[in-house]
Amino acid sequence: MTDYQTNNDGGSAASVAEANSLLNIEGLNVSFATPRGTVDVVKDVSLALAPGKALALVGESGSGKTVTARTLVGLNAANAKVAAGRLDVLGRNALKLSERQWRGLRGKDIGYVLQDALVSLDPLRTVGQEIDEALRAHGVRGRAARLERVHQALRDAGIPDPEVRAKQRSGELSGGLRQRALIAQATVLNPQLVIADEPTTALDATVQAQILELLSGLKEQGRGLVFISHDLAVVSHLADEIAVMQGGRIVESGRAAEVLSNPRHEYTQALIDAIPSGAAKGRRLSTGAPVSVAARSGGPGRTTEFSETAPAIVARDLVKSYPGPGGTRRTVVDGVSFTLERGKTLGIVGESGSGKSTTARIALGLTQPDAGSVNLGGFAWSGTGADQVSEDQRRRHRPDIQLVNQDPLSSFDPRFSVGRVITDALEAGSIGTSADRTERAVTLLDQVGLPPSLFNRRPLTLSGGQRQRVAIARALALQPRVLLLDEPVSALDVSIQAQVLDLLADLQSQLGLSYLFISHDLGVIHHVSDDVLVMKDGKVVEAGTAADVFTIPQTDYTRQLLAAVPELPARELAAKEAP
Amino acid sequence: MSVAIEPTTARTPLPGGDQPGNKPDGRRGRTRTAVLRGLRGTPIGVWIAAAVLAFLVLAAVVPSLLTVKDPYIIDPAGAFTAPNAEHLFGTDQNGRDVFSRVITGTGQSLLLGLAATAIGLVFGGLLGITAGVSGKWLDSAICRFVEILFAFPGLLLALIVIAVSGTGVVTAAIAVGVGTAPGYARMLRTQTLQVIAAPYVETARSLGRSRRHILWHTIVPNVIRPLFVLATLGVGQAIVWASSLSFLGLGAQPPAAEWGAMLADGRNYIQIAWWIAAFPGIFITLAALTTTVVGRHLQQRLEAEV
Repeated sequence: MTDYQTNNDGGSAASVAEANSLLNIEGLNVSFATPRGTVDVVKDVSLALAPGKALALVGESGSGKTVTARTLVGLNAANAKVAAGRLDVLGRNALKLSERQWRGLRGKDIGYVLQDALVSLDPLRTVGQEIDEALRAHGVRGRAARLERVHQALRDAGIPDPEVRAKQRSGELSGGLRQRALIAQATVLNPQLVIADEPTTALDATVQAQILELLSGLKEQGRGLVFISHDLAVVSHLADEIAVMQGGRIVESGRAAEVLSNPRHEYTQALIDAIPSGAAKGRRLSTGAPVSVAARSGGPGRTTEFSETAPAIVARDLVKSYPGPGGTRRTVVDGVSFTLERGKTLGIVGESGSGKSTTARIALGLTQPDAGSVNLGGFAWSGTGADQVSEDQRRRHRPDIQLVNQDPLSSFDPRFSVGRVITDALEAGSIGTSADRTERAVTLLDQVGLPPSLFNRRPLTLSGGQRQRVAIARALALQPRVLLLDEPVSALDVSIQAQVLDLLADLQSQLGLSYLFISHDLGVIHHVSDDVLVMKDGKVVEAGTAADVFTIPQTDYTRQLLAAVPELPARELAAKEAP
Repeated sequence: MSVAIEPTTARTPLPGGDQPGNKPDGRRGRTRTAVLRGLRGTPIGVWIAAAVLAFLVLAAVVPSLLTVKDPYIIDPAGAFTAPNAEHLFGTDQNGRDVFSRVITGTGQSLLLGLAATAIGLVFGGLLGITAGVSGKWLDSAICRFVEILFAFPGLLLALIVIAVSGTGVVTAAIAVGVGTAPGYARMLRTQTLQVIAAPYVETARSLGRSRRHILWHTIVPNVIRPLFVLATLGVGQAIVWASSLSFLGLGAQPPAAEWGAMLADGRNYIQIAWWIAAFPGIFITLAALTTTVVGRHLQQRLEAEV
């Protein structure tokens, strides 16, 4: 096994590879045996890592980064075949390690922080028991001594009141605390090497900032860190070295500052361009051609009473509370007012629990508010008391406002094919005749950039981006005036997200749609919005034009939120020198 | 030069399916492997079960294809003949051919099982779906009623029905159906509640569909979808129950060639002629086992899909 080549053109990886390295990998190949033959997932990957450094694996879903990371802890599936010119982990030849030897390393010398804290902790056991298990597995004796270490690990991970938290189950903890608990579990035995798979994905910006700080603390303690992320802004804050993966290969690697400020590979460049931000406002994020709605099928459109002069949505003093424990009431939306102008985008930003989704449901007329009113395109849409609008009155206007949510798959009837999803929507709006609905559906698919060949496919067999396009096509089928976009790109890779955001911008400019855009991602909100609403604990803390809110925030909360957003260093001052 | 991030080309799926790295596509990967497992990797046990089940169905539909002997001809001289080339399963105390009786009984047993399951599903389904859809006091009322039925063991419930309406094949089917109904009612109520809470029902609402349309075109079809599998699983159990009733002399009556009745017949002679009871018993076991194995497999595939 001598015939390998490194495609590491960064040059710097080789320099740290010399002495005392935690990882030294050359020509790693991982393939999987499937009934249809062998699939190569990781191809000729070379990596190196020194203590006190952080290496980021960057790439999209399916680029092989998770499989690469799992190989480093010997956790690949049974049908995986690992080959390498050199695979030294902590100075030992990992190709020759038995499962028993791996178990000795895992947890003790290598900590692995799993993705998705929600499902990675056993819901039936307390956090303390979960961490204690790692200690027991590695033969740490003494109940009291172990308990002390559990508390210490939780404290080190920045969890307040570790004595209390250790007795709680994962369901009782917030997302940020769960992620910290996972990190505590991975680091309780002081491993030299920590591997983290998407450690901050799905976390709110402020929580993400705290976790990033915690991880860089691990680095300062002299541990080596390998982490996976698709978010280049996150990467820029933590990584010393970056390896960009595409299709199982490393297409570019080198010092973080260098790769980000001066990308050599076009794929890296595309990933950087795809990041939505205020700076990129009005600019296309993806490289695809804009869609054209010119080909819109003729025939009679839907008649609508939607006003051509009134704002698209006017919401006044919305209040909604739900019963809480012990007869109390929890107010989720507390006096929210906003106006969505026709043809514009209003962004609602807030962390989880800020009430933005409930506000969206009230705007959609799916949740009845306790107080306040909503006016949609000039007609009463939702209200209370004497202004109450019945569902029968509302149904007539329902086509005017359509929803696209985070998980499009769950919004498709599981029996339906792609085509049926759209023809069903057309039928619901009595648009077209049963004969020409198929043709209209194909046109709608074309509008969102999908080929007619997908017509008979099941949504389940589509990629995340394609599913979101189908959901958008369905929403457009009824010729709505307003689209409510609830975290529409949160589950998508950054490059797919760029394409969907571009598509939404094209459709808005050509169809004159108004968007109510909800997201926890400030970069996305800044990119798409004309006006912005910042929500916290059910209240609007700040409202204004996107330019104002993002450049001269008026409240401390907005400033905090903005400060927590990791941003790529500006191109010119990319001088984060590696010491 | 453009970069290869095309929107419409499906990306290569990760093998193994469950790699945590591809979160948005995780479901896609899992289904693909599920389909593969379903078509090519079907366990050998399921194939065997399916083959045996096919044989039973064949015996039920055209028994004449498998046996030419009359199951009811009495031949006292040839009684208690052990299994041999002429009488594969031997003969009973009256000299009747056990093989042809077992084969002839297949039709009755399967039909009883199917009918009982159908009755249980319809009865339980009406209760469960009504409860799930209506909510409030009607839901509570139906739930309490079903709980009362649950308080009786299923077979006891069946016995009550027979005590009221007398013995016979039709009564046995109804009795077993009623006995299994509470289970179906509870399952279908849960299924209904799950479907109602699904985002696609809300989507139908925001498309402007009426309540009635959503009920009949979205909720009910999706509730009923897994019923076929549920029924396959239920048939096996229903066959055993129906045979039990016949064994107790409450279902099919002698001299009818029915497995349960034959088992009851044969138990008196088990020490001198084990085959009279053993073969009907084996067939009852086979019917229950194969439908359960096939049903479980279908259920797993359906679950992998949803």
